[in-house]
Amino acid sequence: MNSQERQRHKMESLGQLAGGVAHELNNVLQPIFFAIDTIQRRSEGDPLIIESSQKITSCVTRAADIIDDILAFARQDSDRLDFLNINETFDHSLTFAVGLLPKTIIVHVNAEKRPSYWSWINKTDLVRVFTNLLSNAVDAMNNKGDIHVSLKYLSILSQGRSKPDIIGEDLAPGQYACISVRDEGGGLDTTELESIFDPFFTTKDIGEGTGLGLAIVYNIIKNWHGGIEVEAIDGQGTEFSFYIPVYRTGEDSY
Amino acid sequence: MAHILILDDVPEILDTMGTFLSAYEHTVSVFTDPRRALDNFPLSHFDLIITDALMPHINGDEFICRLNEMIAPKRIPIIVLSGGATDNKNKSLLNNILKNVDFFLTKPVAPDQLLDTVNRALALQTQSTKDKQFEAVRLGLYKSNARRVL
Repeated sequence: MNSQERQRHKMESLGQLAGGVAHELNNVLQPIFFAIDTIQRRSEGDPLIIESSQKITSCVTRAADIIDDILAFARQDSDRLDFLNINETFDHSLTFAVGLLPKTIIVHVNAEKRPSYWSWINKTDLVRVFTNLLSNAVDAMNNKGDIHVSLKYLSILSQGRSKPDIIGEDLAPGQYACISVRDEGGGLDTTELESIFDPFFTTKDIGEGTGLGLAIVYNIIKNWHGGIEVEAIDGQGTEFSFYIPVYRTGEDSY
Repeated sequence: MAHILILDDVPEILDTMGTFLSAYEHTVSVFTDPRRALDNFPLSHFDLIITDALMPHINGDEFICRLNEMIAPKRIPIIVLSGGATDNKNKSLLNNILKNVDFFLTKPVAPDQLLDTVNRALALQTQSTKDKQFEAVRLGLYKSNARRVL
């Protein structure tokens, strides 16, 4: 077994272990959450009981976040997808990626709320997608300006027809989440647009970019059975939009 | 208020969730075994089902499928509270579940969020009954003094 295979095997075992532990721990945390509510209701306004139970609530919330992070870490391998709530994962990953940006950048977020929409994605990879797209946007605007990020949901009605310009495999008909990152930088010209997802293609100076960022983004989105498109107006900015398939409950079918 | 069937193989979750929902005037019937839940389901009227996804004896997707067969042609809202079986080895199980339920939540769910989802689920049913009554009135089938409508 070579070292790469060994590493893969190790990550696979770690992913399995983390999944099992997360399942057990979540089952342990759940009753605490409900019990705190009962204790608070019976506290008859006793400030010490209320304060203590609020502390327990924040500890339980923190523990749940740690479990999430361990799961995300253990599943860095892009082949491992998780069934995740789209709005929650979008908020979580974007907040993390935005935290890494210089303070001279203002990020405007516009997200359509659909609590019953889920997808098979990978949290670590979504952070990676945002980090890459945002860092390109920051570079395109010379480290200052506004970036617009949006999440909306749409239907693609027939195979590859309604969105013919999406790069990647034709998207199957169905519902998709469309996440866009738009900058107000210099845009791209036609030649740059054609090569933008090629590995090692870069418009940055030597030593400033590897040219792998967008190739990585492309592979991640493809792994989610999604698609990606780029719209660039020379001199006015660039918008990357990626589409990920949506799975949803029957709530709206009543 | 509503009569809620809760199914989970962890007794502590059932106890605490039952106490929590009872405090909001709901009546709860709790089960740790899906087979017993299915046996008891026809014996009472339930307004809402809250169930785990991965369980011993009968898995969540099969349980929901069998439950929906018993409920049909009526509809009773179903909330799934999954314990983090969100790995892609459970992909078909989860996709099947999602198609056949109204709400999907993951543990640990904050009590406020569960209560909000319960209220939304119960509102779905009330709205659905109202829509059916409206439809029945339109078709001349609804009699206001009827004891049970549709």
